[in-house]
Amino acid sequence: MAEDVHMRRTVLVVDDHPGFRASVRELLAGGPFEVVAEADDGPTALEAFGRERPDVVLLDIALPGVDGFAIAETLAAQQTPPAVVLISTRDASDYGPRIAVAPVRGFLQKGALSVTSLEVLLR
Amino acid sequence: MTSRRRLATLSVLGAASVIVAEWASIGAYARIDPGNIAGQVIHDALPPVAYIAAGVIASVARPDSRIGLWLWLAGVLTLTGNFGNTLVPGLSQLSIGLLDIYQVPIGITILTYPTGFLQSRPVRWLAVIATAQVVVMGLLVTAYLDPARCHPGTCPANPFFFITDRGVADGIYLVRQVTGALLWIAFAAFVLRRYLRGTPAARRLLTPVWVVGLILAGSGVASVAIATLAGNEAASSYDFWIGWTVSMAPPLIFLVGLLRQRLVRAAIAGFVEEIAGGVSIGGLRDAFARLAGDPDLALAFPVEGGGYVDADGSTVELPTHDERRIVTPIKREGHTVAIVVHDEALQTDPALLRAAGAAAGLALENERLTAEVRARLDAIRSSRARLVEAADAERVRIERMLHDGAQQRLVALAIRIRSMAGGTQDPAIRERLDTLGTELDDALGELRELARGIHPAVLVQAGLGAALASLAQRSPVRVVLEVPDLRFPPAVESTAYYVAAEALTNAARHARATLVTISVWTNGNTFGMTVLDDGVGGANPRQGSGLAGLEDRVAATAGSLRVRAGPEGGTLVEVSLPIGREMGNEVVP
Repeated sequence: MAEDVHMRRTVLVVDDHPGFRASVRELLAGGPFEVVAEADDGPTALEAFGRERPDVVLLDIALPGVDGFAIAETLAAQQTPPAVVLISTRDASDYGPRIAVAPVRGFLQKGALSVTSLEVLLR
Repeated sequence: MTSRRRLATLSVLGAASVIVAEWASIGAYARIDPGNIAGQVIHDALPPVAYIAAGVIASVARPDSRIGLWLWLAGVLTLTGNFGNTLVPGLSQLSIGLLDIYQVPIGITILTYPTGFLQSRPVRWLAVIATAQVVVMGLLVTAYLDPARCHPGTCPANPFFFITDRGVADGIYLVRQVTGALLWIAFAAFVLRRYLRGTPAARRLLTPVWVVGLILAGSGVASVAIATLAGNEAASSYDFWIGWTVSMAPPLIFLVGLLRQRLVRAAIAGFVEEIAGGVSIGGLRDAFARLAGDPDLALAFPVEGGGYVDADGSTVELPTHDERRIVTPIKREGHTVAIVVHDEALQTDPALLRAAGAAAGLALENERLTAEVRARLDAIRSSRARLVEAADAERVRIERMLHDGAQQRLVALAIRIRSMAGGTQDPAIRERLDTLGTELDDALGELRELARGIHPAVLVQAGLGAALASLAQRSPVRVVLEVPDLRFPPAVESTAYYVAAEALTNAARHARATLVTISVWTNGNTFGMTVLDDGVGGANPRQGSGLAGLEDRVAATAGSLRVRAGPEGGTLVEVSLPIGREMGNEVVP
């Protein structure tokens, strides 16, 4: 496996479905992204971020308690904010203009998640 | 006895009594003041004439009341004393003894006003005791009147005279005075009792009668006191002037009461006129309240399932036992068409309410029907709104289940398959995995579309504007949106969304439109939306379309939905929905 360690970006996956988190870990294994932490809700996500300081946060919008948009705001206010990508089972159009005004790099529909689509978004 | 005959009989008998009594007294008048016989006749005859006249009028005007007879009797019995001036042996002394008997019917008039019936046991006893006192004492007085002690020639012989002892005579006189005063005091107590037990409305109506009663009692006691303490001469003076004036009060009071009744009749006539001109809903109750003089009067109608409602359809509670209000039903053809809840005092004149009820006739029926319909409409509207809410809640639940359950799992699956495809070197396997992945993606897409159809998450997430934009984006026909940046109550937004979605579907599928314009407007109280397409229109654009099914939803929110031909062809769908006080004005940037 030829890995360029310098180019590997660390990822925090925030989603309340454990099966999905496992599948993402599988998807990104051995590629330019390394999943270093997982979280299933807002408080856990912020705590994990504080601990691991990942480069990227894959953030599900539909979380229990505080939703993804609010967590994105909190992350954007951090000293070294990560690159946040909102993800959802639903389409972007189901959120209207909210994604455009959120402090995030972009949105990916979960079904369209892949190493390539992530790379393109975070270019 | 018809009222004509009664009028005639009482008038004739009364007039005859007065004439005979005055004629019997002429001799005495000539003795006292020969120059002013006419004046004396008038002074003496006026009270009995007043009572007899009042009695006659009363029996004709109020035939179901006994007041007339008591007044007439009082008038006739007043004349008893006149026969004391005759020279018929025995009659003269008897008249003097029974002089006061007219006071009993006057007292009865006051205590039984306005019915004239001695319903109360204590009052009946008082009347009996008073009559007994007058008769017994009167006979005893007759028995001690010694003709020898009169001015010569003024008194006839007294066949009843047997009490010769002056001491006994004085004793009898004293007892008579004292018992008389006591009876007046008891009478005053009864009057006060009736006043204190009366409802406010009863007091308002009858206070003048009580006041007259108390004055009479006071005067009676005063007369006794003066006679006992100051002698007969002073008592005579008192009786002549003050006693005379006071005794005129009852017939006057009665006539005033009669006049008031005339005014009430006029009020009913006014009431009838007011109703005949047509009243607004609720105006009928106001007219009744004005007529009865009871501003808190309630007019209620029976509805199916029991209970009563007022003109607005709101429930009316029947008064409990301790409230001083009673219920008078108004009936037509045997069944109750309305009830009047009013002050207890009006019970003395229920005829008033019944007459008003009869006059109100059709107006009442009208108002009753309106009240019933309104009550039902309210119930139906609430029920409809609840049904729509329940259906919506169910949709939200199903969409969430889909999202949290099947969609999540399948998405994770799709990702796994993509991982496997990326991780394998074998091109054949990769190709098969890719195909699998694509099919799964298609299935996921359909599932998302299905979920959106069940309940569009965008409505909750971003509001009607974003939802319409989303519809426009996915529509095969070009859509132009004129939508303000505002939020509306959830029920309004979801109804508008479904109507727009359905209208768009019709425009694309049936009308073959090329352009659809969706416009939203509001004035704070109302939400309005129009969907105009340039399609082929149609004779009945609603037939077979889902818009007919949306009418119930729109009606449940008390809105309106109209489909008609557009101003330049095509189809125009118009929705108008009321907005409650709570309209969110979040401006979405």
